[in-house]
Amino acid sequence: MKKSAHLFLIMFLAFQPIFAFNSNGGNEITERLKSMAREGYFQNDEKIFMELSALCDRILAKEKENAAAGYYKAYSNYRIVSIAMVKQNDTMFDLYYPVAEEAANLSSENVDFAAEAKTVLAANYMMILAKDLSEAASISMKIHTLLGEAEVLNPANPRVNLIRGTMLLNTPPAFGGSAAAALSEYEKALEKFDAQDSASNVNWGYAETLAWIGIANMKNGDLESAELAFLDALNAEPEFGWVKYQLLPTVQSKLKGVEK
Amino acid sequence: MKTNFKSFLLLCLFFASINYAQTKIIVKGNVVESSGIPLPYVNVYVENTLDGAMSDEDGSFTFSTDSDTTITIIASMVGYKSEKKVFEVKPGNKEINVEFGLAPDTIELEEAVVMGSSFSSEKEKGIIISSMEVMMTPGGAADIYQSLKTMPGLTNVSESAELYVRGGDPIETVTIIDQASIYHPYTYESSYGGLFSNLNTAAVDAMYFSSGGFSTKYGNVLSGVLDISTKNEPINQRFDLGISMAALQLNAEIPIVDNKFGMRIFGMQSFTKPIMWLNGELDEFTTTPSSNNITALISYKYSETGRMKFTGIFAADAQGVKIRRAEYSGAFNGNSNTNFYNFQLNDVLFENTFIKSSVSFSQFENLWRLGVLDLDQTDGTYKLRMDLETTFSKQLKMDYGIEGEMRNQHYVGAIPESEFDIRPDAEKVVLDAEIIGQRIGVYGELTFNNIVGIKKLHAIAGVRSDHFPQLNLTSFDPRFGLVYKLSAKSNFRFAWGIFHQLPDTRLFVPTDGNPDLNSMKAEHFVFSYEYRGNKNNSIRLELFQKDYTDLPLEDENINYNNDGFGYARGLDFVLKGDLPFNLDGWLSYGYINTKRKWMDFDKLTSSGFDITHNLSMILKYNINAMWQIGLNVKYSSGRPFTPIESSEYLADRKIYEPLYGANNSERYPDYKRVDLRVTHLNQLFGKYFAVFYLEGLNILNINNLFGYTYSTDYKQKEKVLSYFGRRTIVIGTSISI
Repeated sequence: MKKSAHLFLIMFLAFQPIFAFNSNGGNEITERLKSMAREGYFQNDEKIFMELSALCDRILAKEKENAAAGYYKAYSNYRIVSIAMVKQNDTMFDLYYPVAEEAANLSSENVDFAAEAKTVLAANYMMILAKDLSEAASISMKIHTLLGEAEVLNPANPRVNLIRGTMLLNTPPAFGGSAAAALSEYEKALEKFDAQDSASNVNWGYAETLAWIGIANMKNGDLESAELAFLDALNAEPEFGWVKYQLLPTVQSKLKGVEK
Repeated sequence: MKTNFKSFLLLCLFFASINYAQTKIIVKGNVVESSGIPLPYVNVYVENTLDGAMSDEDGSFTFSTDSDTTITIIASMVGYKSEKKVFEVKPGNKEINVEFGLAPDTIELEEAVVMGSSFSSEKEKGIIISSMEVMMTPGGAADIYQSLKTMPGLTNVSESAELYVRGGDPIETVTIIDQASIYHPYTYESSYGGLFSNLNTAAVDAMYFSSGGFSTKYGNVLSGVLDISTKNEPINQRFDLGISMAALQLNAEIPIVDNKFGMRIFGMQSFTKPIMWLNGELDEFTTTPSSNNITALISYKYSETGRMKFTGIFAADAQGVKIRRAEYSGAFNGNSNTNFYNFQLNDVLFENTFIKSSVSFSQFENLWRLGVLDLDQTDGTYKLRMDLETTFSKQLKMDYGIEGEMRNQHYVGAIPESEFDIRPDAEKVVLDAEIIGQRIGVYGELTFNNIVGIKKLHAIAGVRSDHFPQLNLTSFDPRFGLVYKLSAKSNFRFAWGIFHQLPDTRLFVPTDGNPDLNSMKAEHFVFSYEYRGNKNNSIRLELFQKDYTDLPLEDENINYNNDGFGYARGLDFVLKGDLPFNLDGWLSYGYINTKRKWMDFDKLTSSGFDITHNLSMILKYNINAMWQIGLNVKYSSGRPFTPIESSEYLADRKIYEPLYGANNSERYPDYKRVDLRVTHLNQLFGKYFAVFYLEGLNILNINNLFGYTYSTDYKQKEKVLSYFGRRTIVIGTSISI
């Protein structure tokens, strides 16, 4: 007994670094990536996404096949590009878009993250579509195909419905856009979020879906439902800047206008 | 044994503790661009570890790592080359200080912003006009040239597609497609110029147009450059079908190997009969104008940096127009064929040099028949061109290159001996003239950013030389440009340069020209202010002066000498982007004063291109996402012309000879035109993207003049309307599959 205790101690000391990395490192890193992704989104801060992308690069330089790093590299760059688009920073958009697209393409080849990466790739294409309507014919078809593939790979992925809903909401009715259809997609997304394991490797989008439900309701003129959705979003993420400082005050001011 | 084990255990613990106590080391430092500016957001890390940090706004970083005897620190960032530094860690080292200077990763493919007076579809070059805007410009017929003519710097001399740049003759502007020169890029080319482009707008990736002060890259051209890049391999498969009252169009974009190899084919057949019938113009033609063109692009990306591309344009047209002249009425028949082949290879050499090279051949054939005029023309151009761009640092870049061109023009047939007598039995000059011209051009220019330590000051300086072996002529053209950025959004620019170009090659024919003519010369001064709110919104004011010397001038003894001269001076203004009341579009105004003493003008006189005021206003209003309405309002001063004051009867030839007044002493009435376009976007069968449009050209039916036709004795004159001198309605659709 004593001997085996000694042996265990020796083994522990000798392989301590390996244990440390494998028992905690893998999950710890994924959790760190998730946490940074979450922080970046709610603070709407491209710097955090750049840090996230940099961390992913370091992981990938060390471990080329790290699927989580591959995915979060794609995700962080997608967010950097979308922030650039909102800020109308064309230089940044042009610089990071190829990185975002390439990373999403690479990640979609990994079985574990294929469904999620295809969803991010579709979201990237949506930005191109928003910038240049002349590409609508080919790109919209590609977006539908990617979202369809993502759904087949993982029917429980709520982000497919989130992205599809956003596309439906922002597409003119003549091209198949519809706020009602978008709301239906968001509702499906919420159902899937509710059923999702919070420990899964990718978990972004819940509060964002609620925000988009609010926007869709605003578009439909249903200001009360919009306010409720924004409050739900804040309940889920109290520091959700987009909702807290922009969407909720807007709808509340409109509601006040209606009351008067 | 027990003691031994205890000792071993203690030893292990001791070394483990040393391991953790001694090897933590702080890595700190700064990252700057090669120009010395701090670079934020750089990923600095130790190779094969997760230890690292991102540089902050000042470019500084700090992190700790477990030291080894040797550590490799890497700095990397999107858009920059990664840099790696290796450190030997000596015992006792607690801190490493490291400085990185990152160089740009990609070579700037776009030209520098410096040269004044340009607008293009490429960003950072000034005012932007995109291929989508070309497609949607009311009255622009989705044509590159017709749409460009709504921009400043282009004078509205006629409704043809030819580009009259700041008082320059159309031959003073060159069209370049994927590095190859094309001298006949138009359909329906007559002596008054062509009407539309042979190159399909959908094939265009980027356009760069300069109306003065352009780079030394462009030689043997005096006034303007239209440099077009076509699209590379498609990413997505796409088919477009377009049909209107004037044309049928079919486009196919087919990726063959994803992101590597693909082709695009754009085909168009025009048939103007329905439109002529609808607009009551059928009786003015013996053969209603028709044309067809195919643009084919095959592109192969053979490596991360290398691409080869074939560009082919094949076009043909035919027309028979009834002409009424004082001495003769008949039909002008014109047919033409254009074949253009270009093979281009792009790659990166030595990591910092981008090379573009092309081999091209273009062949133009046409025939003109009207009375005694019976002329066949062939014009073939072989060209070899190589452009290199070496980036030494963020501050210094060099562009240099070489081009060789051989042009072979052949005229066979008969032309009237007297301009005023084109009757079938009139006296004629029989022609069989072949003119072969060769040119070798070299250029080099340096772009300096942040010169003399001034971050906002950028400059380009370069020189080019062109040599014409057969004429034993050599020209040297120094050019210079300066930009001072007042802010991220506004700048002042100045450009100066010398430009040379050979006169029309027909003037070198020994019988009625002068084989010893020299190149024409122009000196440009361009000064501009530009403000760009964002990619879509901009405003620019530009002042220019262009002085011509060595222009060809008629000479009693040697037919032509080089004593002609002239000038063009004026200002251009353009406001482009989002306008009040949910409108967008652009407003462009140009003022010009240009005079020349050249050809048969023996005094300094307003040239035929002296259109004092040019105003274009393109307004588009998005009613909703599905409907858009657009207006194109044009106004320009009347074109100068030389009046016929009387005539003299030539009894032996039984014809009146017109006697002209002072050169260009009168002007046609001002040109006014309003075009309207209504566009409806929709989706067919739930999946096909469709555009429906209705276009009204000259909707106010303003009878603009092309010129006058005269009675036999020239005592009475009658108006001849311009191409679009009557209201014309076109309806069409385009469907993407």
